Amino acid sequence: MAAFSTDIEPVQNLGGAVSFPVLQIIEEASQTFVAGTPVQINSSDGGVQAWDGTTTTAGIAGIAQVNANNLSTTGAGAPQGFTPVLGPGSYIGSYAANAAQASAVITPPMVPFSEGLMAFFAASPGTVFAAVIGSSSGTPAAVATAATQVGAAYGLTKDPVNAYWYVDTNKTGGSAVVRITQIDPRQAVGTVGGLVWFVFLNSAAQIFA
Amino acid sequence: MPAPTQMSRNNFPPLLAPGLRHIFWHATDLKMREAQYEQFMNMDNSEDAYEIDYELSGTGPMPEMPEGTRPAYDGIVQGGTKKYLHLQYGLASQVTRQLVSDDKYGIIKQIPKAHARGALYAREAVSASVLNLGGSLILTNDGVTLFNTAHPLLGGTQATATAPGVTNIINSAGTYPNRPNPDVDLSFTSIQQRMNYFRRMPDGRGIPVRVKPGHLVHPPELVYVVREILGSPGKPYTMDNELNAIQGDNLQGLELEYLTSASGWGLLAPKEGHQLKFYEREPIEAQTDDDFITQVLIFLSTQRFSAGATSWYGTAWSYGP
Repeated sequence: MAAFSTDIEPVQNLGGAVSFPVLQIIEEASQTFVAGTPVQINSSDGGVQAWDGTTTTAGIAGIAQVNANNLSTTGAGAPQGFTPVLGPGSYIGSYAANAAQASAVITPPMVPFSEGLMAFFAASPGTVFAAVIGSSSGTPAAVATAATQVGAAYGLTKDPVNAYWYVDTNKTGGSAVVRITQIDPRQAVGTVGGLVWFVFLNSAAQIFA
Repeated sequence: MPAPTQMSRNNFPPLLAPGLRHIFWHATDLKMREAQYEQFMNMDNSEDAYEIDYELSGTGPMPEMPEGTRPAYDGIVQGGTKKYLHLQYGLASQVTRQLVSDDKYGIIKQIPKAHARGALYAREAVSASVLNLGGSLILTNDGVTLFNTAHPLLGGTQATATAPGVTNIINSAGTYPNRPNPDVDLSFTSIQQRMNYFRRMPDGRGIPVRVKPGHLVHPPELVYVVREILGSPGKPYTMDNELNAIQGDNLQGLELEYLTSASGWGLLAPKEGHQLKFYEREPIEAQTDDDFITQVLIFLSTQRFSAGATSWYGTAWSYGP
């Protein structure tokens, strides 16, 4: 089985603004998800983590804008009100510096740096996202786009191979979290594994609804 | 009450008609304090997304080389890095076109002046947070808090074994403190004890270094205590006719209004003797734009900078009892 999903990205804002609402909230510890992953806010400590895939009521805060940082603790290094970044600055690529200084690290240039925050495109009513359409029925696979999909509500499922998520025609009813607004105009209708544009259902949005 | 984020004429009726003798506007009539962060932070500019500082020790002491024998070999030891991420700060105000036009006193057009005060506050508060949170959240390149009872030295236990006279100062072998345990109030004696930190301060290999404090940093609440201790010709708070020995250290009091603790105080070396840093990435910049449809004016002020501490050398702090 080959991977067929790609990252979910916002493509249109129904309000006409040139940018999409982006929030930055402390990142939950030990997160390794990739950009384009649906994320949710952990109810116990407020950290942003990958969506669990099952909470369909107020379960999705948005779509991750960047890769997770695999923080050692939730929000590690995140600035508080009027402080600088409270840590070495990077958690990926840092390595131990000196045996006599157990907590000192070398952070090479060019490694991704973290402020302890996770940026994500908010699942707001005015933001349209795009994702590949597929089905988790049987062996997960891409399906063809169809004009009849517009207006339908589907769920999201994680591609088991590449960790990206796709709009899953096999999830409907109570499992649905998005509603298709149109087939991607850059592709012919009927494209297998084509992109569909969608908004999050009000009931599924965790912050905005 | 929250400030109106979109200011319109209904928010400020008195500005719309002549007759006001004076408008007491805090943004211009209440003078802001002179910049304090520049007095204790090493100021530098940056043209990158971040800056990385790195630390290296020197070599150790040179041992005797008996006649006809080979010399000892030694190298330098690397420490950790400190990464300064420049954070963006910004503040915007929305004003209706009608309010700008009908304001008889020209106040609204000067909103960027108010933003400038907010921008300076951010610089002061972030810089002061290095001191305020230096015992809890601000980390240096050795991986522990800026003010710590046990900074691990680059040379480990060999460093404190080499450093002369540190036995009574250190709390554990291989480390050196710049914070007492427990914290102590500002006093004649506690200053002397912190001065000993500086006088015995070794480098990463245990060789004593010349780092001399220049400022006694304190909050406003301690200004009179500082004047008494530093200004008294005789030893303060005693009836004996002893000299005020601290005067020989030429400490200067530095009152910082952005310190949050009323009892926290410390000693800082002159700028070249410590590693507290402020990197300016983008200066304070004011911009104006408007929304074509609503004609709402937007004043936007931004800046980008970072602050922090690369190393603990040249600093000592106590957060009071």
